[in-house]
Amino acid sequence: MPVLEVRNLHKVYRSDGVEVHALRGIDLQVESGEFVAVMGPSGCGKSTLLHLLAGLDLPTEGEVFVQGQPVHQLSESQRARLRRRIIGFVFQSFNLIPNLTVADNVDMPALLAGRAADEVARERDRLLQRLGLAEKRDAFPAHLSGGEQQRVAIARALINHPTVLLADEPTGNLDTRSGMEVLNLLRQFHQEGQTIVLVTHDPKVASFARRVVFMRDGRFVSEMALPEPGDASRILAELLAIA
Amino acid sequence: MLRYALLGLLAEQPRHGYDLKKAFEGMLGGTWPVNIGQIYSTLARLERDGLVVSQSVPQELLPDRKVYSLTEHGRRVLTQWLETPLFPPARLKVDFFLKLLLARRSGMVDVCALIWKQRQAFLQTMANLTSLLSHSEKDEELRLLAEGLLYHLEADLKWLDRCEEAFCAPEHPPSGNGHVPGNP
Ligand SMILES: Nc1ncnc2c1ncn2[C@@H]1O[C@H](COP(=O)(O)OP(=O)(O)O)[C@@H](O)[C@H]1O
Ligand SMILES: [Mg+2]
Repeated sequence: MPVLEVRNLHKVYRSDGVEVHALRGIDLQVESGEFVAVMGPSGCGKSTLLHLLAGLDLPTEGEVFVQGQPVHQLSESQRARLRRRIIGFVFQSFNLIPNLTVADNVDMPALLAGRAADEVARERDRLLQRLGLAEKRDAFPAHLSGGEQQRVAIARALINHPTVLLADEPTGNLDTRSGMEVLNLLRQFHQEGQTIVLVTHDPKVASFARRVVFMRDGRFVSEMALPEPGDASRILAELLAIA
Repeated sequence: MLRYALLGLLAEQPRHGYDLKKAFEGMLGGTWPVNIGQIYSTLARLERDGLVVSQSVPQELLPDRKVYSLTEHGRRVLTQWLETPLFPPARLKVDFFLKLLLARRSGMVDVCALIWKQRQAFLQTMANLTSLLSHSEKDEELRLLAEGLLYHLEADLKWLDRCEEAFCAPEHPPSGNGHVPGNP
């Protein structure tokens, strides 16, 4: 069974009598352990899609199942519970809580889920270590670089071992180097089995995924598999042939 | 390259040698002049290989002139060349642009499908490069080479987006490659 399944998803925004058809019939299945990138130009509906997957908003039509649960039929509080336990979300603008330390930001969803504080602290320290943030444990978000803030957001998204990690333009506010660091970390978590769905307009970001779905104007128009890149020596030979 | 250009122009309509020279140079805005001898020697090789056939057409006062047209075999060879994405990115602008022009003129393959295939080929190369970057933290020279190629690829992909905007209807379903999830 796919960990994430979407059927005929439509979303229409209505404001001041104006209708925007942001999604026009999206179908998607994501299997456990996949790393999928949805790629398309600005305004094509990527964030809308991700918000519906996370139950942050409800579709106008269609169905969303996460681990078999019908997100589109759940109440607000049930969806909040779902987000804490089985969905991790990483935003373009980090969305850390400014008056909480790094540690408290990361602990928050775990404590809300009712986990024991000492177990949470151990796990958080391990994650921060892993993400190169051990020194920053007691710092406040304002004192961190963008790349560091996004790595904290990743720790927060992973603390409850989500079934699927959703990321909306996770490198959109980062310089090239820290963007690559963040993507390399996502790639490593994927290699350890984390299911990831990422949306982006940037082909370089999408190229970290193993499957790319192309989106235009609220629809999926094409998709491709990106086979695991070959060994370095073959890639190198290819590079030198062009250089 | 010239060989495929001639095939593409003959797919549009049968032509004689001088007409081909004019059409080829016109297509590239005069940036790539060819001499008529090159055209005729290329045509001779194409005819020998069975990709084109010629027919003599009598002219008043002048010697007969040969009009060339594409054979079925020539069509297949041209289609195959048009449909093969370029790996890796070197000379994209010239080679791929020529394919676009010839695909449009000959009408033999779907221009949008061509753009999609090329985009996918670039994305695969990009994935190879980013993977190489993650595995070459210690080799600064190799990193720089990979980064340089990535910048080129990024520019090429942006340019493909522009080609798509210009030549493909919105939501144009890319035919003949990749499958469209969920759509029958
Ligand atoms: N809350 C909203 N109210 C009205 N229109 C919206 C809202 N959110 C997004 N839109 C519109 O829906 C379309 C898709 O937006 P979005 O999902 O943010 O695209 P993307 O993330 O691909 O840039 C756009 O036309 C956008 O203006
Ligand atoms: Mg967005």
